[in-house]
Formats: sequence, C-alpha cells, structure tokens
Amino acid sequence: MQPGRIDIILVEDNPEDADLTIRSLRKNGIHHSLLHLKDGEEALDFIFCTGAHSLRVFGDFPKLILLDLKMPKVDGIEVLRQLKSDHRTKVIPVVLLTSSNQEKDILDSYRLGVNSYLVKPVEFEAFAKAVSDISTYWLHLNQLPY
Amino acid sequence: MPDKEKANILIVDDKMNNIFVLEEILSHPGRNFIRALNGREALKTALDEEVDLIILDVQMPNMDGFEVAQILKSHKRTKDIPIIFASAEKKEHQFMIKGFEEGAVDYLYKPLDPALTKARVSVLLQLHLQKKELIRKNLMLEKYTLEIQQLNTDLESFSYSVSHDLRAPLRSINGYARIIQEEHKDQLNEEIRRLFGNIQNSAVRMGVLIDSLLEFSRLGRRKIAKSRVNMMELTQKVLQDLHQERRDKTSIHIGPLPPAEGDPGLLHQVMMNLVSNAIKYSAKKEAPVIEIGSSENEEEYIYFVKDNGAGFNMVYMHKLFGVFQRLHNDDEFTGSGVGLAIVQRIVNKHGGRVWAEGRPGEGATFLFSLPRSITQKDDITYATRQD
Repeated sequence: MQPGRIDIILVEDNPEDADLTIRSLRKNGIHHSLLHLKDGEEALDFIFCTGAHSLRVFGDFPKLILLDLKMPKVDGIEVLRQLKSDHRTKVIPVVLLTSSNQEKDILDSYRLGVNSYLVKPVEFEAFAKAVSDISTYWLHLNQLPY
Repeated sequence: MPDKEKANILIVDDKMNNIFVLEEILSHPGRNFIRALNGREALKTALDEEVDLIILDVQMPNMDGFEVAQILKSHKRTKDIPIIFASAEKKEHQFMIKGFEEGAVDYLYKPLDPALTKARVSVLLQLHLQKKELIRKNLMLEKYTLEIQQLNTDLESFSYSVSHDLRAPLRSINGYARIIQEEHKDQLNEEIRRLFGNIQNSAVRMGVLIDSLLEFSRLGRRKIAKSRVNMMELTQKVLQDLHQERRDKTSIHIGPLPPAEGDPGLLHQVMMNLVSNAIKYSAKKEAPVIEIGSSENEEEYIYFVKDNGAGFNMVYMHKLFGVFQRLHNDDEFTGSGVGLAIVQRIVNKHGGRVWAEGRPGEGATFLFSLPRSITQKDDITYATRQD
C-alpha cells in the first residue's frame, strides 16, 4: 500500500485509545490525513521503509507523530530513540501521548529529544481537548523545516 | 575427622611425640586436631579441609616449614589461615618471617612454653574465627541487599503497570459513555443520560484513586533530603497554592511556627494536605475559621491545623490515617482517602508523630510533631529571626 501524503501518524497499540484519539481529532475539526500504526515496530518500518514498508520511498515525513509509550515489541521510547538519533528523521515532531506520569519516563523522553509529553487524562472531554489542542499547534501554528 | 562446629587446628610435625604434646597443651572442647607428619600431607589437608589454624614445625625433612607456608600463602583457599611456626633455632626466624607479613603469622620456640603456646593459639584462632564470621555476615548482607533491590525493582515495575495499564480502560469507559451521550442524544431520556453520567464520574474517580495510591507508594521509596525549613514561609506558600480552593469567607490565622529540620517538598505536602482538608471540611460553615499554630517541648516541635468544620467522632480516630479510610461519604465531602495516610507516612519518615482531636460538628485539630535537632534544642530565636 502506498498511501498519499500523511499528516499525522498515530502509534498506539490499544484500539480503543486509538479510536478515542481519532474521534477527538475529528470532533475538534482536525480532518488531516491520519495513519494509525499498531506498535513501535510498525512505526519504525513505516518511517525507515523497512519490513512491510520496504517498498515505500523514504521521505515524505508526517507533520506530527503521536506516540504511545508502552507498546508490545518495540516501545515508544525505542521509537523515539531511533527517530531522534537519525539526522534525517530527528526533525519530525514527536509528541508522546501516554498514561504514564512517571518521572523517569518524562525525563527519559526529554533526554531523547521528545517535542512534547502529554499525559492522557481519564476524563474524555479533557482528553479530547488535550489531543486536539496539541495537534492544532503542531499542524497549524508550528513551522516545519520540511 | 574435621568437625564443622569446632575449630580445626592442623598440627604439622615429623615427630608424632611433638604432636601429642601440643594436643595435650591445647586440648579444649571447642577444638578438633588434625595431624600431618610432613609438608606434603599438611598441604593436602589444608586444601581439602576447613582448617582454622596451623602449627607448623620448621625443621622437617624434604619440605621445611617455611616452604610449606610459602605454598599455603600463595593459594587463595589457604592464604588466610593463620600459621604459628614452631622451631628450636631462635636466631634466623625473625628474618625469615618477614616474608610472611601478609596474614596472621606467629612463632614459638621449642621447648614449648605451655602457657605462652596456649595464649598465642587462642588469640590467633579467635581472630581468625571472627574474621570468618565477618565474611559470612557480609555475604549474607550482600545477599539481602540484592533481594531488596530486586523487590524494589519489582515494585517499581508493578506501580508502572498500575499507572499505565489500569488507566487505559478507564479512559475507554469514560470516553464511550460520553460518546454515547453525545452521539445518540435523541435516543436517550434524561434518566439514561444521568446513568451514563454516573459511569463517567466513577471512571474519573477511579483514576483519582489510582493516582493517589501511586503517589502514596512512591512516597514509601522516596529518600528524604533534610534541610532547615522555614515553616512560616512554607505555610504562606501552601495558602497561595490553595487560594482557588479557599472561599473568601474562610478566615485563616497563622501563629508563629518554628523552623523544622526536614524535607522541604514533603513538609509542603503535609501542610498542603492538612490545610486543604481544613478548608474542605469547614466550607459548609457560616464562618469557617482555620488556625495554624505550634507548640513545643524538650524533644519536638508540634504543629497543628485547626478548623471549626465538620469534625469527627474520636471513636474513629484510628481510621483517619489509614489508606482509603474515610469518615465521610462522597456526597458530603469528596476525597480519595489517601491525603492523611500520606501525611502520616511523611511525618513518620521524619521521626515524628501525627494525631488528631475532634468533635462531630464542632471541628477538628490535626497535629504533627517533628523531632528537634540537637542544634535546634538551644535555638529559640525563630520567633525573632532576622534573616
């Protein structure tokens, strides 16, 4: 599959959380093209055009990656590490969207160069607002180098 | 045969008679003797058995005592066994012994003086046994430390899972209840909407409980970093932080508060929890009054937060500081049931106590004490501090 231009990549293993995230964006008028990838391995394969995505041409970066932290196989920290340690992909804005408010996760993420760290609130209204506010910022207000 | 319970003394001499004499002199219920008639036999025994002391004849055919000792000192397993040389030639030994500075080495002259021999053996033996015991205890300590580290790691990954995995389903419950209410509004009557609202609220509440419990468990592992804390300033800051919760009609008085010796962040949390409780439980009064003050005795400073709010029955005092223990329904006053448990944990970590006094409908006073440091006991200048 060769999708067209993707604006948002959502990396999230929990289908309900992914559904709620997408609903939140749509509900708040963010209709940008979005690709949902189900774990860190898939995310890395997609960005770096390996594995199932080896036929894709490298490049065409999304405007934003929304990344979950705790995922099977390759977790969010590892995805972040790989994206931020490659000079070509380190420019992609990565926002961690996670349940964890553990100090260590926050610190590790920032040390690896995360662009923002968002703890998902339990309350849906607050969650929807947080997700769409941050997406609005990165999609509309932020100036990208590419 | 060597005996595990007893101290094993290896006596090495090419003349059996000398061995008998030594055994006679050193005989003791806590000792077991092993004999060797030449150097080779001595080395074999020392390597195979658990030997605690060696009495080594210097003049032996083939391999003399010094050679045997050299070999013993070069083996990891035998290098720490104390050696007492027994020799008829007095002169050269002091010079020879210099080679054995490492580890316990002593020497005796023949003919053996029984009293001196006994004393030397018992000192060296005791030293060696104490050293062995110390090593054994150290190993045990290392083992326990590893176990504790493992437990801590387990606990950390447990609380990590709790924080991450338990929250996700709550988000779904809350989210979908909300989505049903919004997207299928027309199909729902008011009662159904109310019920969905209850589901949403419960999920949020559960989220609060999880967060509080995590905070409480994190506190258990946190190390306290003590410094001198200006409790006056700390309390002022707490009141600033709480200004939104505080109703205009609530009057708050702060008496003089002596500086404490403690972790500033944690003490801030203590004051925060107590004052916000006082605000919460007195909010329904016509004229809520909160008083923050202190007293002291020889050993400790006592700080208190007093309100004229809902109070409590002293019968339930033991329940106040338990985790998830509450004396009020959520209908009356909301809360997670962890705030006072956190207060107690922090104060106990500082070596202090917490307690409370109250009467239903008349108010409550929460008190905590912090031990005075040695320097503070002579220091009563806090009320007129210049800095």
